[in-house]
Amino acid sequence: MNAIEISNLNFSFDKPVLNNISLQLRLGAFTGILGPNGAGKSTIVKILSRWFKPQNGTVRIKGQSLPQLSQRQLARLLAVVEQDTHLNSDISVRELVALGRLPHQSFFAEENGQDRKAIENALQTTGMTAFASRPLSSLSGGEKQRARIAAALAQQTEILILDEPTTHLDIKHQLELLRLLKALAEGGLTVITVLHDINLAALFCDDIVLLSSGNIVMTGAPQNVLTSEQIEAVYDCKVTVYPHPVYQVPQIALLKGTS
Amino acid sequence: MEIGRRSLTRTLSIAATLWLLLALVILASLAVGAVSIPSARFGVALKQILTTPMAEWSYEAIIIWRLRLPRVLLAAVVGAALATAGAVLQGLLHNGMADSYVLGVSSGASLGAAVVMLLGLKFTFLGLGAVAPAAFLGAVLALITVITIARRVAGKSTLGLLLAGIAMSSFLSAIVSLLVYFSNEKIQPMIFWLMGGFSARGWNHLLLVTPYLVLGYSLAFSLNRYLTAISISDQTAHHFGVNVEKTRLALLCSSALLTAASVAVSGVIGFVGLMIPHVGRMLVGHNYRKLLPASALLGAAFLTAADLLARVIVRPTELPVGIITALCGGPFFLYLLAKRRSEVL
Repeated sequence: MNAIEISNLNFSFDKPVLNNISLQLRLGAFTGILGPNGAGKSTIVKILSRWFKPQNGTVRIKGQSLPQLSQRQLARLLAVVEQDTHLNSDISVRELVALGRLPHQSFFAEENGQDRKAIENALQTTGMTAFASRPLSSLSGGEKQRARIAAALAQQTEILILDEPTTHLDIKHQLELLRLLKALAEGGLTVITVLHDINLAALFCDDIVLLSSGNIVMTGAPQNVLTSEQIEAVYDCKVTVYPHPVYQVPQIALLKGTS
Repeated sequence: MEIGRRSLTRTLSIAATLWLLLALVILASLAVGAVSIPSARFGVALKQILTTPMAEWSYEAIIIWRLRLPRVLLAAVVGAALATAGAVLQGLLHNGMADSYVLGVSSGASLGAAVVMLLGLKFTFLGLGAVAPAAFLGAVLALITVITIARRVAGKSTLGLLLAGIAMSSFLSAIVSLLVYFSNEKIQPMIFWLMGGFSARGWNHLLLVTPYLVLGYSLAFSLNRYLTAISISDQTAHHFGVNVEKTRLALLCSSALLTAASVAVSGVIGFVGLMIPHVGRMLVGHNYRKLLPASALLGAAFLTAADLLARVIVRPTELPVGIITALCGGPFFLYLLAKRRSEVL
């Protein structure tokens, strides 16, 4: 069984955004979704989280048909960290992470031992235990992102989806975040993330999905997907691809001219 | 866990302080009024009320029981209701300047109530007067109209919401004034009610609104975790498995119910719902599990104190309590507006 199965999916928002795409994402893999601005990366995330409803096509999450799941059931199958988490409220880190338990709690139930354990674990995994009682407004961008991921982990889902989690972070914090996601994937979690940085994606991801104007160009291992022809065609700029001096994975270097 | 225990202790001591504050304000309000009661006799009167049958009471005890207690309790529950409604609306709309008065919900409720009062409808609804249900209808219609127009015109901008609310509020108030103007024989009690306040309110008013307020508050509090999630952002709440549309509808009904029942008995009293939740957040933070009860207690204490002031400032007559709340709330509103550029809420 795949984590995600999309077939013949169409979505338009005034103009077509996704054109009849089909896609399978493996369970347990760390998948990076790449593509230029407007390619439809975030739209895929929003369809998987059911924030957007597709015009037609089918979506299955771990074999279950997306439209047939309640919002609660969906939140127990997949956790989603939205892009650019704009936090209007200034609750504490612990309170944010506790909200990740909502899909597991019945209407009048209090926080039980299982909830507390999941919250502790999520805080520990993300290195946020020491920040538990801090209000969100006192955190840096990277800490805020980790707190939001901790809340997603408290949902105890098998699938974690993130929309451009490294935006606004410096390279140290980008690396820190991707190491965390990689460790989670190695621990058995299916991690699917939209990324902008091709080199970082090649360094960390098992699978790459390359999107271009609402179409899937190719999916597969980084060395198969990230070729200079493909990147030049999709991003419309000249690049050269070379093996990473330490890890051998493909890396791109930009050239000054246009393709 | 150390952090958990410390925050629990802090929460409990804040809760105890707020209850104590409310009790003190209520006691002070019972002691002060048109008839002056010396402190020694006040103690005796309270003891009589608690321990002896009514036939043996002194006239001070009767004044306190018949006139002051229902009025003071009414001010307290209305204050709690308005503050809760404001806290709910601020979280739901991600807007620290939202409140039933600013958004025109109170005016909607007052129009609904005024129509029924003028028509003199005497039929009862669930054993209660028709005024409160009509006020609820007016409140819901005004709230939905304002939110729909603001969304359509300005997306989620604060300015769009406030402008739509202010326009709605002025328009509906004008209709209420028009109704009052053309109905001369019933004008006296109407104007009394329109000015907003608690003078001459008795046990029957308290009994009339309490069920609505209990229902509205219970609805909001039962949804406190979902409201905390929505107050972060609609999308985040959605990702935590919250059915945002349904929850929003239930919470809008709750705030409309709290506002409508308040307006039905005490007219339009502004700014309580705007100010109190901010004070609540300073004390207990942004988690609605704590913020709703804190706002309710603070709102109760604030409006009871405001009503006390309204009674003593120009003794032997009284001011409408809305003047006191607006004197505090107007500058507070402007302060929030000035501060808003640098802050999230």
